[in-house]
Amino acid sequence: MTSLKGPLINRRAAMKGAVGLAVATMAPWVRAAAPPPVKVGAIMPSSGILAFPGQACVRGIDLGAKFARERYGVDMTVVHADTQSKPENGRIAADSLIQQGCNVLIGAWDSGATISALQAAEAAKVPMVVHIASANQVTSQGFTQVFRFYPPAATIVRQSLAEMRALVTSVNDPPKGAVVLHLSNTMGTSTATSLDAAWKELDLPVKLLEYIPYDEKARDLSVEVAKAKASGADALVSVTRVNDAIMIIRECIKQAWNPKLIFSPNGNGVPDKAFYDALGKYADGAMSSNLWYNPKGADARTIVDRFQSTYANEWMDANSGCAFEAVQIVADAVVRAKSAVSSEIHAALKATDLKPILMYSGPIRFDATGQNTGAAVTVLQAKESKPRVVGPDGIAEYKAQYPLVPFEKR
Amino acid sequence: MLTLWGNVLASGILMGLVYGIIALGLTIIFGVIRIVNFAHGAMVVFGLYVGYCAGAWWGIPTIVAAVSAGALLFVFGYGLETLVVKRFVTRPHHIQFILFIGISLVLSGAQLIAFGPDPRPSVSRLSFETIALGPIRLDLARLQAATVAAVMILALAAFLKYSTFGRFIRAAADNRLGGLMVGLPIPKIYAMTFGIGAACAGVAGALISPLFDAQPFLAVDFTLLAFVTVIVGGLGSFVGALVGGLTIGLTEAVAALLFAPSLKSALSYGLLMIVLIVRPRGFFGAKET
Repeated sequence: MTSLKGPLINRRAAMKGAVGLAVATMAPWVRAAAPPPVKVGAIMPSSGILAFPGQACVRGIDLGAKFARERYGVDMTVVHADTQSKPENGRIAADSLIQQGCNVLIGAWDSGATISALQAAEAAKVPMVVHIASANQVTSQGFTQVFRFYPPAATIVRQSLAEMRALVTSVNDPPKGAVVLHLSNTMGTSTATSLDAAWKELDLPVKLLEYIPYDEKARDLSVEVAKAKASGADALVSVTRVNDAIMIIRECIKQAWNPKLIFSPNGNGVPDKAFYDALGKYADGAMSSNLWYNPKGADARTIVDRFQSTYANEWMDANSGCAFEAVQIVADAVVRAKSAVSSEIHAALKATDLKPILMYSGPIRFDATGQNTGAAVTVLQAKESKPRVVGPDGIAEYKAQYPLVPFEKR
Repeated sequence: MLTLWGNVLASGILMGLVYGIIALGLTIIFGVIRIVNFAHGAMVVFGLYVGYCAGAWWGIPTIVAAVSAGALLFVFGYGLETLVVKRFVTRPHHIQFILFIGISLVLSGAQLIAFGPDPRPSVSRLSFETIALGPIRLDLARLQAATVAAVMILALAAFLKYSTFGRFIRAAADNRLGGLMVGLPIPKIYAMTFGIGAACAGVAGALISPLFDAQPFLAVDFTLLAFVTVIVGGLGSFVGALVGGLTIGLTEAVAALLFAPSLKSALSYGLLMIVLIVRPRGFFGAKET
């Protein structure tokens, strides 16, 4: 009740009113300073044959979301969807996430599922940041909603072969012939095609002897490796998933084949923990060129340590790392867009100019096709049961070991 | 070139025998109970995990792990038949199909919960070892699996032929109704047979653990592989399982050498189609009466 005896508005009440008015009028600016909550859909192969890298990506996404909340203040809700390692499920997963209100998508690890998911993203005009998927078709089919952090197979292969060229021209006893063992799926075939073109373009001083494609569900690669050995090659170039990378090394050991160089452009194996768990000392020496975290990056150590403390039995690998970086790209776009509306995030993504937080890469910028123009590969070599960066020189932790120690002498 | 052919053929034969041992349990169960165990692949993966755990956690040799896996799966199979499967023996095939798909999904789900989706690679020395016969190198893990496959088939054949219970099993396989009429313990025979079939799957799984990384999602692949093998060899025949496995192993090996290796699976399924057209009961399958 208001007192009838005293004044209706006293000095104290006026002060309170003034403060209230000030707060009320400043509210729009206060609201603008905090990025709006955003719902991010993450499409990964969390089960099925690709569950191993898929789960690694999920870990990267989750840690990335926590980091983005702290670094950018973005209130990010992540909704995960599983493609079950089936390319055709990419679209179903994307549709489901869009229906759940996701403003932006991240995914989908394998090129087939990514292209499938992009069709749904395109129809709904929801931007999709592709953290991993290397087939050239991802950015060459005219999708307007795609923003691919990962380089296309052609770029990875070209950069990888340039690194391989630098290596073989700097050693005394370079390999004379190479055989290419590759998956016959979208990624493997696309990489093999790019490999052929880049090999000629870069004029590698190693003769390319034979291509041996194999099915991704192959249970046994003994004949493939026997063919590779019989070709007379002393360098093995492979485009693999983790499981078959392990099978190939096992077969090399069993068939007493000791290539001087084992190099995998755009392949899995060397970057993955399972490779070392399975092969132990026999893993050492194998090389691979992949996207990897910059061991000399400003935030890298902190993020890797945090990953390690969160997931004690796992590594921060290329899968987790690229997923982590993709979340930062989204967070950066949301902050600049000051909006969680898909079209505005899309516009902000188009204008991205971000120094990578974790991964080795040039500034992240997307060209007209949605391709990150700064994408760059590192060369890794298995050493003492860990992948170590041996190239490019600026970030190398060790000098590359060549030739490989024969398996029977390990 | 001769060395390459020799190695490829040796690899194909050994891989074929491995396929044979994977298919053995499926053929035993069908031969006696006349039901098709679509959970067979999940049971093989169960054995694969036993092989993995034995090697990685306790350093137990694969062959000992195989015996343990066989014992575990026997108990599991016996119990499963007694509690669940026996109610479905006389039900229509599509009901049985759904039951076994359900069992397979439950087993794979349990494996997924227990071990996660990551492949669990073998740490056995056997994964890297071969023996050399001149220029031919024989994979020791496959050689071991192939030898055990041959021994298991001989032992099973002897058991069925010479033991009293083996004769009961054969009689039940020939004529269930007749067996019931003369007082054979059919429920016990079926439970034993299912247990033996499951044990074979377990032994096979453990024996191939140095070759395949354990992963729950392999169940479907193994079931399909076992089916192709027994259909080519003849459903219900032990020798058929081995010959079917050998045929597929050799077809894949030769196809990989002569054509593109990525066509291996396509050619083994092509072979299956030819067998289904030319000899629908497989090489050693019994004639439908």
